[in-house]
Amino acid sequence: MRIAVTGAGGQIGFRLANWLPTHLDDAEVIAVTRNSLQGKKLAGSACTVRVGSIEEPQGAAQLLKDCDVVIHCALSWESLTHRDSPNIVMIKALAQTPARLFIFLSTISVYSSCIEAGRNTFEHPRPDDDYGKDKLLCEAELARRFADGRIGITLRLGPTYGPFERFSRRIIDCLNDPSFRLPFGGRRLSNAARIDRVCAAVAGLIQRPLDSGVYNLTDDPHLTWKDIFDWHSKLCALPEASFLDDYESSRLREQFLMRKRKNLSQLSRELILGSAAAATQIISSSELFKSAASATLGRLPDSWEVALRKRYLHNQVLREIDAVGARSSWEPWTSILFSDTAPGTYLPAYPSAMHDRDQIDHELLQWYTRWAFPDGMWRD
Amino acid sequence: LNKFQKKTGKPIKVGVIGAGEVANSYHLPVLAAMREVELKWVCDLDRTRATRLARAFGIAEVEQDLGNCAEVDIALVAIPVGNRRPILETIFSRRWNAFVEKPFAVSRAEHQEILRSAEEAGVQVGAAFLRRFYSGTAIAEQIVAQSQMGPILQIWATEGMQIRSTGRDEAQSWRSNRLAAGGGLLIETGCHMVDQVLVISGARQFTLEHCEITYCDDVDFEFKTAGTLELRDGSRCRFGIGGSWLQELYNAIVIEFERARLKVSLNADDAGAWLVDAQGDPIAHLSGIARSELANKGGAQAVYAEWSEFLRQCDTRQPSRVCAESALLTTSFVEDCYKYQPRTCSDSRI
Repeated sequence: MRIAVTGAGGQIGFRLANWLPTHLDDAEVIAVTRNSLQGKKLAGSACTVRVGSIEEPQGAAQLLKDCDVVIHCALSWESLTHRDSPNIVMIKALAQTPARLFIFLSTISVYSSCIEAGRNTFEHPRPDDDYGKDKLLCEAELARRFADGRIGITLRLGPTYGPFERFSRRIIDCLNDPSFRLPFGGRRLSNAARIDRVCAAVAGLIQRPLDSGVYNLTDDPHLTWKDIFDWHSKLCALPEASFLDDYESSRLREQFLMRKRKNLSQLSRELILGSAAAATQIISSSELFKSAASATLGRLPDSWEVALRKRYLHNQVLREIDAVGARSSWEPWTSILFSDTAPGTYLPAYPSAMHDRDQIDHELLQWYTRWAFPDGMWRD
Repeated sequence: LNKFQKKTGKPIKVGVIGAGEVANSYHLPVLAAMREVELKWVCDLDRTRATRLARAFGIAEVEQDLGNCAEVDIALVAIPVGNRRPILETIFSRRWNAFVEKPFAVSRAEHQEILRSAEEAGVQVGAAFLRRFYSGTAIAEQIVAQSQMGPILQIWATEGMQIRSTGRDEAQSWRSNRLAAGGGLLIETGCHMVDQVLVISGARQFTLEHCEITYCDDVDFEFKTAGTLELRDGSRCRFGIGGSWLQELYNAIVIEFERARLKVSLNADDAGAWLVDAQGDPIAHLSGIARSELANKGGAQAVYAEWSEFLRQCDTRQPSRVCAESALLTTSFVEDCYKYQPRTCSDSRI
């Protein structure tokens, strides 16, 4: 059996192209990369590298003419959601190859950057960014193209973590940040999947394919954010994450949700509040206003003036105390920590044959040591 | 206005050779905004790409052959290092000054040969090592030069990132062509960091005691070097410089002084320096230096600073912070690393 991995120079494609050849019997893995620089990265792996573009049917057909399975990990960031989005073009081109099983790596961003149960449903996902929208369009194209009896499976992935994964780097950065607090006490179930689970799931699907359809792929058993942060902190000897209380977590979650709900009322509200804020700013910065306010204060009885000034000072001090050690901003990616779990069908568990626990623990520690210390490279 | 412009009374005419990413994203946005500069032409073998770039920056002339290009004062050489020699010969024969993108040359001999040719032609040559103009580099250089934290004990410099989506097809990916690129990571990205270490420390010479390079096929994707630097006051310090296209690394230069540690950022967006304790925890961020034009943040400010410096060099004909001679030690370092370990095809590290 020949298995093609597109986007084999990318984050997940690279891992799959390295892992599948050694974990699947009677399988030849073809790593497809867009240029030979990416292909060179795979020089030491057991897969065969083919270099070329899959953005047009002839190219795709030539590259994948002898492949039985296509695992499509390639992604272009150009022209997302446009009618001529390269990602949709790729799906169309790949559908013309003779592969009988097509596994497409999609994303839970098709639901939203911060999933809201009840609002972001499996039937009506409502993505709120171009990445999610483009992936959803690709999923639809895949369903159309593979309605001919061949199997087309879409896997919706959340962030992947583990050694070499960008998301693990973010987690470790958070653990190193004294102002970081894990929302909701870390009790929420994550939508994340460790990289070995992703590899094992793809291998499982190749060996025992399911029916065509869309499946969410997360850790199995489903882990909480605390479990995932603790795994990193324990292995890298970092302090455990502190927690954000439920009240503050709910407030911040509401902010993330408000940001994506750009309906008419939201836009009007922003406009009114923005205008009001601008007006207040203009008035309060005006010298005329300041002198008028000062004159008014001066005409009040002393006890009133003292009370007002005291109150003003008190509020200002409170604001400043609140800001001590506060996280300056919650970056957009952190919305995932406030998210509900993805709706829909989850991929069943496949045995994780990639690593024993100790090996992946060791890999994470080795990877962490290399980039976390100035002399990390020389500690090998 | 620049003195160079004042002398001639006309804008300084600049021609751009190579319509790739570095011209598009770094040089042209800044040059187009410099009042003393007039962009005359773009020259690239790929006419479509050259035309697109010229249109974006309002440049009238597009050429595929350098021989057809109009006279200019300065040519920006923004093509891969392996393809430059004949271009530089033409530039010098036409008596143009040349501002050359890094890496400047693939060997010490080639570097010196270019310097000789330029001298014979009576023109100025600059080497565009942008990070020399990041504030972190300038801050660290000043602190070292004034021995404010005691003697340097050792310097660690690492930079790594996994190559993910390149977004380029084979035709655009000159990096995978060893002859054009001059090598892989070490010469392409690593030379930046090597140059920063040498400039900051004020090294006069280096001794390479260890060099390990990981090749994937024929392109180097990871390197790790260690040795000793001989500093300008005659003292010595240990160094380790490493880089990777396979995985993330610490991504900073850490200078261990007798009394403190300084962490210099490699990132244009956060181009300052941190004073850190022995554990690496930050004490204070240093974002600029007093009484210096080099206190920029990186990005466009750094490009502007390097061009201003080169215009000054062309005007005064005196060595500047970007003069090509100042990059000779960097070229030697990179060449010695490649020679240290004969190229063999090794397994991927992952």
